Amino acid sequence: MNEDINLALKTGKQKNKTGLILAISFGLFFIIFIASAILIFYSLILKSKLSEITQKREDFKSKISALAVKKEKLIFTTDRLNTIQKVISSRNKIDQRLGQVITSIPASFPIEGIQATDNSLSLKISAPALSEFDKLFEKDLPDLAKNKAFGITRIEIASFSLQGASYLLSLNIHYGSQVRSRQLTR
Amino acid sequence: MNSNSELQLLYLKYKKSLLPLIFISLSFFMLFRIVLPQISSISESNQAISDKTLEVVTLEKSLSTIETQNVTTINDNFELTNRALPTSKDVAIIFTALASAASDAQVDLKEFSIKVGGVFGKTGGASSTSSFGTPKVDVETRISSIDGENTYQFVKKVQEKLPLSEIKNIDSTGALATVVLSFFYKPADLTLLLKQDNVKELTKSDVALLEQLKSWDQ
Repeated sequence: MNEDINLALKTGKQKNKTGLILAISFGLFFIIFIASAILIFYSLILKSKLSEITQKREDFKSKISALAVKKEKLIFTTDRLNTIQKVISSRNKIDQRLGQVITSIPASFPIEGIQATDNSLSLKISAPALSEFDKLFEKDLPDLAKNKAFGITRIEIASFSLQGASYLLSLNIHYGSQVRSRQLTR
Repeated sequence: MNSNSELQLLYLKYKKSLLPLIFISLSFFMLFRIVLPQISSISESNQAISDKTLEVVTLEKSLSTIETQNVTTINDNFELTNRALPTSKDVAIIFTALASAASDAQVDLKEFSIKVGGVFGKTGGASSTSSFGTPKVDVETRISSIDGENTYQFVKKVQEKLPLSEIKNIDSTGALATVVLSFFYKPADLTLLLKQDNVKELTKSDVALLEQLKSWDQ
């Protein structure tokens, strides 16, 4: 028999190694087992909570459906108010523009004609004497054009003529498109 | 007999490795069959709880809003908004608004014509819509006034009447004026009414708008 071979020592090392592998594998199994148990338990708690919330939701829904008429009227009103707000803010301002121009022109000038669209306004006014137009040309019309809030881009005299006993002035007032978009955002 | 002894030999050789192998196999099985699916399920449950909690809070607020609102106020506001924006093309209320504005502005309403458009079907024909999709009925009105100031008063007054309208064009010469305007309407959306449970309280701007509509509803 060969004396160099030590069978007893080799068996002890192997035993330690096998024991370590067994401990690690068991440890891993134990950790995963505990984690699985915790996760299953937590999942059950969440499912119970979810079912409780679902029940609560159904309770509220049934309470609301008992008040269906009131609910429908309130939803209808809110929806209509949103649309009304849009309608009012997007309406063109023809009446406002006309009002601004009419109030800027002295009352001594009768309005003979109006042509108004989204972007322009034409006005025909008359007066019996030429002197009446002095203040209009020198102050009233320049003041109207200078007012930035009105958004006027150009005022033109389309015609100025004598018709019968009075003078007839035709004015074209132009508005910029940016004015409407600014009014829309208000 | 020979193969049995071979198996016995193999068993004896790997006997000590068998238990760790079983533990590791079980660990992997539990990891992929229990742990990972449970993590995914927990994440989904948490998301569902969060969504439903939000829905419950909304429903609770809606219920509180519905319960606290006075029935008379709800009915008044409902009728007022319905007069401002009717559910259909109602020629009678358009005529009433025009006649009332004409009376306020002291002008004579000579005639008016309405492009009613389609009565049934998706292709409505002449009926137009606004830039934000609200349908409208175009109306051409002829009025007789003393001067342009009365014409201005008429267009001003008609925009302060219900149902809501928009002036499209004014063409006035002497005592006669043609005013083209659009009256807005909005069909009731039954899907919105039946399916929606979210009832919001009226905001300050809604209340202010209702007050404005009330002042126009004289």
